[in-house]
Amino acid sequence: MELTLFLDHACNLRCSYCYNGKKFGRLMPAPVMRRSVDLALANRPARLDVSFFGGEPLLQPGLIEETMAYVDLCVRVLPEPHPRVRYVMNTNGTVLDERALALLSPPRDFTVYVSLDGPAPIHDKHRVDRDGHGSFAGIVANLGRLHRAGIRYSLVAVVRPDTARSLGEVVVTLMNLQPIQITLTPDLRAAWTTASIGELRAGLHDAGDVWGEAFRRGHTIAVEPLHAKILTHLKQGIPCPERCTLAGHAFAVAPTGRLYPCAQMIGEDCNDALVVGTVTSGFDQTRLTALQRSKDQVEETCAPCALRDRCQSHCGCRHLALTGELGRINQVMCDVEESFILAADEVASRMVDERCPAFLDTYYRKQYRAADGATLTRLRRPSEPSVRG
Amino acid sequence: MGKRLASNAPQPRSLFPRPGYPTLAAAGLYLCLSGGCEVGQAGSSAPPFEDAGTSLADVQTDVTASENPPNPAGDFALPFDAAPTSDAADADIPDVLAIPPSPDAMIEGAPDLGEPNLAGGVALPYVRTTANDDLP
Repeated sequence: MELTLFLDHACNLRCSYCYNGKKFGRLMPAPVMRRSVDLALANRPARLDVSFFGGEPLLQPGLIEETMAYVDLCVRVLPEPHPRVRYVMNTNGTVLDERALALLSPPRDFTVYVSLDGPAPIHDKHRVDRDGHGSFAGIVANLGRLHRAGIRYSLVAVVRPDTARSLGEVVVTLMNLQPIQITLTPDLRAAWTTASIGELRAGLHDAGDVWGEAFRRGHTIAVEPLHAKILTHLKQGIPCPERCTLAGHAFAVAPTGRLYPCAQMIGEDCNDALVVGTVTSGFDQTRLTALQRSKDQVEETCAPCALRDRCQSHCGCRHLALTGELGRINQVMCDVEESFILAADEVASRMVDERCPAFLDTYYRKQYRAADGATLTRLRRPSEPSVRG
Repeated sequence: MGKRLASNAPQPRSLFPRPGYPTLAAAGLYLCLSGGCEVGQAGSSAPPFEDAGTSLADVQTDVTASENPPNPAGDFALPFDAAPTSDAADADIPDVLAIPPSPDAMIEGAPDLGEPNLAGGVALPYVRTTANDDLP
C-alpha cells in the first residue's frame, strides 16, 4: 500500500510547468494525517510506503516528524508480522537544512527524489523562485550535503520541448551528481510538435549513449523510463511497472482530507470529479469504479497497437495531463512513448552486442532476485509440455 | 516548428523494429512472478533495482506459476547453466549467458566515485561515444 500525503500547497519555487496550481498555504492538519495512516493500514498491508508530496513537503518538517512518529506507533501496536515501512520524499531540493537532513538520515528507510532538470542553463529556464531566480546552484550544493550525510537520492528531470534536444547533456550532468537513479519525465502538458518529437528522439539517443558508457565503466544506474522499457521487452509484456489501477494499491490525501487516486490529480484540490472519498468516510466505491471504468476506455483505443504492453498509456494521470479526461489520450502519448522505447532498445541492443558485462549482469543475472517470500519461477515455453520440477 | 500533436488522435503502431536483445525466456532465465523485480519511478516508493510487486493475477496466461522449488539462496541463484531456449525468432540473438559476470558490477546504487561533481557540468567523466546520424 502506498499512501501519499500532500502536506501543503505552499512552495518556495514557481516552476513554469508546475501542474499543481496556485501555491497557497493550506497545511494538512495532524488529525487528517493520522486518519490517512489509519486508512492505509486498515487492511493490514504487508508493506506501507508513505510518500510526502506537495507543494514543497520539506517546508513542513514538523508534520513529517509527527507522521513518522505516528506510523511507528501504529505499526508497534499491530499484531505481527508488522508491515515493512518505507518513506518517500519528493522535494525540490532547496530547503535541505539540518532538520531535514536529520529526518532523511538512516536508519529511516527513505527514498529521496530531488527535482533537477539538468545543467544550470536548462534547469534555471523553468525552475525558479518567486523572484525568477534559478534554483540550480542551491540544489547542487544541497546534493553535496545529502551525499556527505550518507543519504541516497534519485534525480528527476522534467523534459520539455525546449530542453529535449539536450538530454545527453542532462544525463551527463545528473550522473555526475551521483544519484542512485535518474528519471526523465516528459511534460505531457507541453505543446509537443512533430519537430520537438524529433528533438526528443535525438536527445534520447544521446542520453542512451551516456547511459551505455556508464555501463561500460561498470556503473549500473537505472535511467528511467529507459530501464522500464527494457524490462517490458525482457518480460514480454508482463506488466512492468505495474499497470495503473487508480487507487488499487495506492491513494493520495489532500490537506482537506479528500482522497484522490494519485497525488498528481490533487492540484488545487478543487476538481470534485476526481475525489474518491474522504479520510472520515473512507473510499466511495461507486465513484472509484466509475473512474476506473472511464480510465479503462483507453484499453480499447490502444488494443490495435503493437507497443501497448510497453507503453504507459494505462496511467490515469497521464490521460489528464494530455487531454484533461480519463480514458482519452492523443498522439503525443504515442510519439513520446515510442521515442523512449526506441531509445531503450537501441542502447540495450548495443550493450548486448558488445557483451557489456555490467549490462548483462544487471539485466540477465542479478536483476531477477526473489523478493521476501517470493519464488523464482521459470517461464514456460509453448513447446514445453510442463515446467520442470 | 512543426505540427502540434495534442489535437491528433492516438496512432496505434503496427510496424516496429524488433529489439536486438533477448527476452528472459529466450535466455532461459527464471523470472520472479510473485515478488516482482521492478524499479522505482518518481513518486513511487520502490527504490531502483529492488522489488515492487507483480501479482500472479497480472501475468499473461502463457506464464505458469511452476512447481519449481523456491530459490533457497534468496538472490542471484539463477540457473546460469541452463541452456538457452531460443526459438527461431531468437536465433540471431547472442547467448548472453556465455559472458562471464563482472565482479565489479553493482546491482543497486552507484559506485563510490568520491564526491559528487558539484561543478554541475564541468570536467564530466561521461562522454558521448557514437554519432547521432543513425537515428530512426
